[in-house]
Amino acid sequence: MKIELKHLEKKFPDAAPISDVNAVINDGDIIAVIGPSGTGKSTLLRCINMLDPPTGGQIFIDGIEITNNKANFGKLRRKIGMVFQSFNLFSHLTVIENIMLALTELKKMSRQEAYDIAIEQLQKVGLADKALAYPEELSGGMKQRVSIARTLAMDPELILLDEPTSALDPTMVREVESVICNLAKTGKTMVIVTHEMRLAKAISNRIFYLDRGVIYEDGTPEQVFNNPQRERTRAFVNNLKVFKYRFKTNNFSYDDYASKFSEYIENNELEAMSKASLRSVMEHIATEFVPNHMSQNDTVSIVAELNPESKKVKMLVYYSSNSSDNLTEMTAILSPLVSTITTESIEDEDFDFKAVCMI
Amino acid sequence: MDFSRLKKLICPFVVMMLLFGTMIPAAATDGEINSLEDLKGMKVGVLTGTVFDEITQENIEDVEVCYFNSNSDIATALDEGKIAAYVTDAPIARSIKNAHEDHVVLKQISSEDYGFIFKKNDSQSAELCKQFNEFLAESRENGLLDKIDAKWFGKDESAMVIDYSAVENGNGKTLRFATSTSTGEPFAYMKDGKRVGFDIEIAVEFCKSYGYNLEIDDYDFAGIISAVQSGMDDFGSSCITITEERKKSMLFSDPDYSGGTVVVIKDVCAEALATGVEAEETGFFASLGESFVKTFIKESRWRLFLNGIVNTMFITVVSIIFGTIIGFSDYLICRNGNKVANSVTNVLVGIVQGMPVVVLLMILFYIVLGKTGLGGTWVAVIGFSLTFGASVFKMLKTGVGAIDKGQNEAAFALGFNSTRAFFRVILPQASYHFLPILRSDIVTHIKSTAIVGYIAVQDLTKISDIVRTRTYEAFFPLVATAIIYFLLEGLLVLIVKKVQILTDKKRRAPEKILKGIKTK
Repeated sequence: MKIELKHLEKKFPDAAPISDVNAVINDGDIIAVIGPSGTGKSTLLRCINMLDPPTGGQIFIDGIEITNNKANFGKLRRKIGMVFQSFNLFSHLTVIENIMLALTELKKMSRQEAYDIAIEQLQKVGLADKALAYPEELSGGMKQRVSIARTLAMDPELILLDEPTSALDPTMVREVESVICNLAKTGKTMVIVTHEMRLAKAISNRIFYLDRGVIYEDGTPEQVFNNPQRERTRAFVNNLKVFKYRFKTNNFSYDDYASKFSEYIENNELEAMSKASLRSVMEHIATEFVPNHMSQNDTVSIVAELNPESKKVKMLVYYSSNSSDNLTEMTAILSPLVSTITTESIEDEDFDFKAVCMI
Repeated sequence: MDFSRLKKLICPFVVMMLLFGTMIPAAATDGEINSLEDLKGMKVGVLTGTVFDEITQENIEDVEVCYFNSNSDIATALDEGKIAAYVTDAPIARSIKNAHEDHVVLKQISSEDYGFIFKKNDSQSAELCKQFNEFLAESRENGLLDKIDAKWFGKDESAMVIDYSAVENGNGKTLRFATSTSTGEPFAYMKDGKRVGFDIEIAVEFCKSYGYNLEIDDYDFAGIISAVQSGMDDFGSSCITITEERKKSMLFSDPDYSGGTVVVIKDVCAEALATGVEAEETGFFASLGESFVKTFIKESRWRLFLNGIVNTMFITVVSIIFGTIIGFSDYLICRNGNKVANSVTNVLVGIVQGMPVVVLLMILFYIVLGKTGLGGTWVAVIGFSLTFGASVFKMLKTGVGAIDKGQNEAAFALGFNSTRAFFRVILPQASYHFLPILRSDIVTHIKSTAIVGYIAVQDLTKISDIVRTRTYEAFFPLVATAIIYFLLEGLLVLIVKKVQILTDKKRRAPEKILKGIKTK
């Protein structure tokens, strides 16, 4: 199943999780949608099967626009399966009836045919012995496996998985993940929203990094995880703890700045040495460089990135003019305090120059 | 429903009632009452809707008037000491004395004329009234009136019957006659399951001589006047005193009987004598047996009770069925947030639930459906269907509201449309939330039908009123009625529980779930 999204937009009265999403999902694609919380990942999924109809833009499924044809969407929706974060099993029915219901009601199968399909799907997720149990008797992991079996029983061409492991205890994540990995091998088109980077890497052939309502970066897992092209993607996939501050004029409030960076330093786990050097770099920029060398119309921006795995801190200093005197001054101020420092010219709207230091 | 539990519930209740009934002493009368002056500042009972309250206040200084709905209640209240005296018509006082020997007339305070009432300012009614007056004059001349008088005020119990055959299946126009058998002997009362009495026989004789058919509607005393005023009934009577004030709102016939108003008190000496004798002669259980015979066996009164039960159950069950249909269909229309349907429903539910059911019933009976001539039973069915429908609607709203919206989404994602998702996924789950509420609502519902007596329906409560008017005994018929209600409630709850179990999918046996499917 091929899906095209054109200028997709979804607004709620008090939020606009999706502002402009454009993408083409090809038949057989397995796409992992990742990104920070609240950036509309789930909303994107719910727009694709019209649970939350988009407020703007178009969706084409196999070349047919569904956004202007809500009435006939019911039949098409049978070809799109969805697995929910909260399972949503029908609590008044047994496991086997949960799977059989749509087959007998919508596909008009006989009860025997429906049962045969249902039990086969249950066997695939290893729960055939729970056929007559009620959902409330199952663990979270089992419920999600039943829910996947229920989705697969309808033989969908596209499967949407909305954070399938987020509501599970850590001990149950694996059993559901292995079911999803098996599912990925069947060649069905899949879109999965997940916070498990490991799972995203393992099953997908494409990653959508969603941020602030748009697909900020779209690439293969290797590219997005190992060599992200854009800054926010990099910070997200490396799980970087970022501190940002922008000096606009030299009469800024030092107290405000100091309280912000102190908070950042104290809230992140750092070795005592790094803490001390980071603090002194922060202070020197504000007390030496900004008051003495920054001209009235210039802007200086600093970004500190902490990698929680290596415990290393990378410091980026952006400067808005390429005056060589100022560069020399900054290098002179910072180099005694950091282990390495490199400088380079950049082409950016706001900045001409960047210094990268490792602390 | 296990009845042993029900028994456990009822037994202590009955025992308590028995104890209280025998132990509470008469309190309102301190000292002897020898004249009207002695009643100053005391409570005096009268029948609601009569003119006795006015007469009482004119004749007794600084008196507190208490209103009752039947003469049997008044007699019981005097026995229990809740009132010091009551004011009523002389003939009624005489018939109460048959059951309560210690009730004695203190003084006759006025003489009154009684007449039949017709609708005022209505040419047809005026015509009918004229006819009736002609009939009265004739009867007075030819001795018919005297004969009737002698019959109902005489001692020959066996003569006190009315032959209805001439006014039941004739070809003439049917007149509807409003009366109240709670008024008591000898004017209008129930005997052997038939309405008899002085006033009723006059109505029958009148219809006979003018070729009308007669249909009798049985109200509370106060209801007679509303029924005639609204045109529901063509004429009415039940020992109605002719007064100037009433003449302003009703058309009175010439008097058919002249009597007087009397003040009745309890003779303390007679009471002491009576209880002393009784204690020696009859034990507690013997008097209970006697009450049982009086209430159920004598004059086959059990038939009346049976009729009352049938009426109560008919109104309850039919209104539950209609109410469920109304509430459910309305919910289906409102389910998807249709604005017009929702606001109309909200207003209707507000109106129906915002007023006492008895007021709703009377508005339906006298005003909305007054001209349709629909009988009280069907008006009650309509009224109670509306109230039950309103509560079914609210119940569904609450029940469905309790279901997680993920259930709907999962059904949609599988390809269900909204209607199918509702019936196959949402409703079965919502039923777990609303069936228990429904069960308690049904018990409330059957109890609330006890007010249909206001619109001339003889349900169980009304029958117990009527029987009490004959026996002038409060305790036994009331307890018996309470027990019958308990049993009826138990029966209905039993049925709902059965339905609940049958529809509860979680209670199915495992082999039933996969019935007809070959499992490997």
